[in-house]
Amino acid sequence: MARVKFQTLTEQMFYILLCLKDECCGIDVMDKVPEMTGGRVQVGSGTLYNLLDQFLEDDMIRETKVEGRRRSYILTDKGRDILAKDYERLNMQAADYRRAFPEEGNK
Amino acid sequence: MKSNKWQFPLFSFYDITGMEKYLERMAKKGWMLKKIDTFGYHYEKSEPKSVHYSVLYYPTASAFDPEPGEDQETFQDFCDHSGWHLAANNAKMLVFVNEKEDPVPIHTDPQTELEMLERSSKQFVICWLVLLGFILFNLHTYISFFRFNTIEFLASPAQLVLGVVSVLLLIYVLLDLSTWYIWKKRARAAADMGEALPATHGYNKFIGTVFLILIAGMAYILLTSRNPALFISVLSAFIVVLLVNGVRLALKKRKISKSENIIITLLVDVVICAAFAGLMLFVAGHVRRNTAPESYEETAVTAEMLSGIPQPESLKQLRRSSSFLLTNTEFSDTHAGNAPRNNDCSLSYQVLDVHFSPLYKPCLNKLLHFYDKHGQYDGDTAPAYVYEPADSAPWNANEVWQLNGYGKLEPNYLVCWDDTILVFKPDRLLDDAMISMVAEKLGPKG
Repeated sequence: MARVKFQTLTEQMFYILLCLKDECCGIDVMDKVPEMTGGRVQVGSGTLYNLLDQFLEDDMIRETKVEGRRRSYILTDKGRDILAKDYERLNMQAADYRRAFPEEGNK
Repeated sequence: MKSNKWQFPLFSFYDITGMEKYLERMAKKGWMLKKIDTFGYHYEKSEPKSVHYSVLYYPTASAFDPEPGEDQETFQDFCDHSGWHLAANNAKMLVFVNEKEDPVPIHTDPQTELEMLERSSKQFVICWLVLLGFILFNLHTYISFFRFNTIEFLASPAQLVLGVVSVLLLIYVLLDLSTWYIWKKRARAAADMGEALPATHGYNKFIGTVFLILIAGMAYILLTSRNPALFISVLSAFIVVLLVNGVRLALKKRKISKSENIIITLLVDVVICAAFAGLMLFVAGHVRRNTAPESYEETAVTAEMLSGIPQPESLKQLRRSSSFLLTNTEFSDTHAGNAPRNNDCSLSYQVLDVHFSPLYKPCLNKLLHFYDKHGQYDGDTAPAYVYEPADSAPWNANEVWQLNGYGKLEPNYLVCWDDTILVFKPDRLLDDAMISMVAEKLGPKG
């Protein structure tokens, strides 16, 4: 389990959850993340598979439909909450950086 | 040109980097992995390709599965989507291959990667620990045997080889287990910091050597021990393993469920083992009844020779075991039947030919102290039976000792020539004429 039960999300976790804000098939998440990030973030198939399982278990996503072996998921309220909290954390992190380096201005 | 190849590479279960690099090298030479089973890796000829391999363990997969479970199939679907196709699988191990130039690895998060590996490693560690327990138990019995029956031990090539093999196996298992734990610690640290897991190292050369020595050792034991039962039992153990494995595979093909497969295979296992055990007992008994006890050679000293009285019904038995260190010959000539009669004579003796001279003194010491505990009661400080120096001249030997029990001289002689030690135990005290005859027959020639 990562860092005290999803208190802070890794980049991979963050983007998977972000993709699942709308109903999405598990496999499609693998394509959406690099699309969304301009190729900067890639999620491995094994990692995605494991994380989807963990998120399901922790009630952060739920299954919406099943077509044979293709399963689709969507964020739950708990998932949206955790994602939002992590976004706040990232903002605060960015703000702390700007305070430390004010001369860099706003890029 | 062959279109199929078979290899039996020996990798530690955790040596993923080693396995992947090895498969990639084979692919570059034009050999693509087709199948993995208990006998090793099977390849198919193709044009040389530069591909990527990814080896991982799927925790819930089993050697008894008729086909992959749905979650495993889903996992494979995910991998397929990024170009990772299943090349081969065996029990928990899945081997994926990807022909893209720079594929996204199956694992991009070290934490989950390590977790998956740790979950699957339990079964290997358990196997190793069981094997370790078995080896240690064997070694313990082994060492006890060495301490109490030193001479028989050193004269037996089988025991010597078994000793070497056991120690090597012990080293290998300990080495593998400790390397796994060390790597696991490093991997944990890396994953915690978000770094990729460190590469693994195996010692294929060491494993390969150990394996070869093991096989050579077993072959040596089988060929030099003139015991057909041993040979047959090893052969049948081999056949049993093959049969049981065959049953498991056949059931798999017929799509029997995993739990049913396990139960049936176990039952068949028990039945086959019992059948073979029964067969072994039958063969052993049969063989024993048909072969006469090893006949004595002309060079042996019989009770008849010593006493001059014919012993037509005596039972003569010769046992010899020989290694490059020692040759131990034991001969006994006793009256057959239950009621000893007036003219019955008997004797027994042991001849030790020491080939490796540093062993001479320790062996002699062992023999000299053989009767130390004889007839001793608790509280006795001095042994009741002691070997005392005797006249060596009649024997033409370097030293001679005779057993003295309770102050009385016994017919038990310990004779030391240059490379030979004789323990001679007749049923009467010997006179010079008898000694001379025995020394000539059993002492060093020329």
